[in-house]
Amino acid sequence: MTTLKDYEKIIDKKDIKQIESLASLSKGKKVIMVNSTKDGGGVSEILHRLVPLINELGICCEWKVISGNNGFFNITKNIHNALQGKRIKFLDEDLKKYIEVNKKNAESLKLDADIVIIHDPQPLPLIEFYKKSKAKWVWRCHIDISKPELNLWKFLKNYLVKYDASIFSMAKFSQKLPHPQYLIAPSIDPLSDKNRELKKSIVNDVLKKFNIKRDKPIILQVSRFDSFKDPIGVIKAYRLVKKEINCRLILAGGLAGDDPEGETVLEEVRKEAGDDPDINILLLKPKSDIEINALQRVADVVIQKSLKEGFGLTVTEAMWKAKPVIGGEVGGITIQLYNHRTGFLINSIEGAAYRIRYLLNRPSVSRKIGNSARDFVSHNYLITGHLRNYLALFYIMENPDKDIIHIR
Amino acid sequence: MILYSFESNVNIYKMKKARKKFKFYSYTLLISPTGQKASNLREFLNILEQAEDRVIFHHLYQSHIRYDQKIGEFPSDYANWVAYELEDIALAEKLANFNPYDYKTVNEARKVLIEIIEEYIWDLPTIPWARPGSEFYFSSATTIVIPLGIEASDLKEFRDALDNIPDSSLYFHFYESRKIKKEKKYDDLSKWIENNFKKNELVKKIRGIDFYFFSVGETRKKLISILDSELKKV
Repeated sequence: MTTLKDYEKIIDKKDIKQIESLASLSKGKKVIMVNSTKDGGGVSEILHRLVPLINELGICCEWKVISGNNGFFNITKNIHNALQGKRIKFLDEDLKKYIEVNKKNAESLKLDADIVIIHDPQPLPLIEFYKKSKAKWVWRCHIDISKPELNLWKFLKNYLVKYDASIFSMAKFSQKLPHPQYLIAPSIDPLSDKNRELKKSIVNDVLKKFNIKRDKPIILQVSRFDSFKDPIGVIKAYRLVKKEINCRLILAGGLAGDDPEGETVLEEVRKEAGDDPDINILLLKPKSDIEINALQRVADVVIQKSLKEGFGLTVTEAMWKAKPVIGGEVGGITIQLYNHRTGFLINSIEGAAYRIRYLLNRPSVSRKIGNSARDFVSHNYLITGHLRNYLALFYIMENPDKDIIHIR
Repeated sequence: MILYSFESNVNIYKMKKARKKFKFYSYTLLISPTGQKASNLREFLNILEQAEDRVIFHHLYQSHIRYDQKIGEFPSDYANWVAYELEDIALAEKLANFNPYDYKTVNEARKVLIEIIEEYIWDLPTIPWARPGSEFYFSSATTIVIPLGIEASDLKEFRDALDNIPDSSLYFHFYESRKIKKEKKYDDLSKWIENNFKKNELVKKIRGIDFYFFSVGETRKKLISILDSELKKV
């Protein structure tokens, strides 16, 4: 198992020292994280890495998952989409079911901790079914809720106001709420299978497994098959590029356990791709981390053409591998990609095609942007920084009214 | 190799000890968005006038901790927003030249900042707007300052510590500490040297660093270079 000491190979020892100092303030406390899936998606990936590190620092941290059937996850997927701005009308019975499933989960989940952190909207109503105790409840929102569907927002707010604090990934996602809000950006783990350095032989094995030739420049998008990730738009951009540059497109992604919409989108993508031999659509199994790592390492340009995005960790992963990345100008992508410096932001299919051509035609500029991107991620979006922010939060939750906590 | 070691030992032997050790602190900042945003320069000005001091403080001073020329060439959140989102370079230049450390209190700095923007708006034919999604989002921050476990009792230890403290710690001692107490004008580092060693020239050099225009990383390099030159003299 990875320990904090292992990160000395990647980040400065002095930053580890800061993490240890902060952890000492909350030693012996108990924290429980709750979300809706153990596998698939950025949240579970982060928790898989973060929870053991918090425990290693002497803070007891448990991770619990709510359960529900397909019907429940269909409703929560719609809630997720509506919070990201999609106009969806909810039936009263659907919202009732959403609350009932949470109530049922509350009967079996023992959330006896100093701090309970509820991730995303699926388990948000849990708070309703626990007696008021000393425990501090924090809602950790990973998605872009800058313009939520109003009626749904009013409904969810009834539960949200009961929390002691909320955490958002960016200031623009924050809302007017009666409790403190904090900003914590998500992160990638540089030592995980998805991001660690890979031997050439492993990379070649992956290419062989998927029957991918390196005979022409590779454009890659890694993301779940989700309409907000706009895989159809990526194929259209690739076709514009293909008129000028002979290239290959890889669309790689999996289907998350809490996302029943994925298969429909995948079918649409296959239809759009037709029989083009230079489009590789790869349906990855859960835990295909090494495969994703290898694909990102062989890509010449990485694209994340999202139309809505919480943060966009696939962007961060590719930046960490010193790749030039082109991303939709939405959500957290806008605080990762700065034009000509750490990547490019685009707003249209044509914009994506133009920037792909720009980068494929200028390998030295691509290299420079890629190196700058890696450096930027190492300062801002690694798991060690994420851990530091959580440790600060744990202590701040005990001292919520102070601007400066100075211990001499 | 042996000679170097011998010289090094002599230096350590000669090094004058401080009356009071310098204690380095770890500094961690957790940002709190206020939920307020400005879409244009007029709204921005209105919020600047009404915001709590801690909000102004965060964007004017604490934002320096994340100042990195990769994401914006100006040393304050305000100047970068005006430059990149409002695309008003003339105002960004004025804001970049505004040094908030020239003022005793946050409120004084706020007043001057407001004056700069008001004067600028006066002559503008139209108010510049940001595109939706690129508004200025106001935040404040909570900070935790705790002992880092690194101390220095002489200049050599002090210089070595500068290699081993996080950027955030250096920011605290060299930037923010000037603003924590109202009577404080200088940074923690030069104050300690002034109070413990008769090193007026060294103190003057450290205080001469144009710190507001450097990132914390650049300031660290400057400090180390000044101290290395000083230690060669011992």
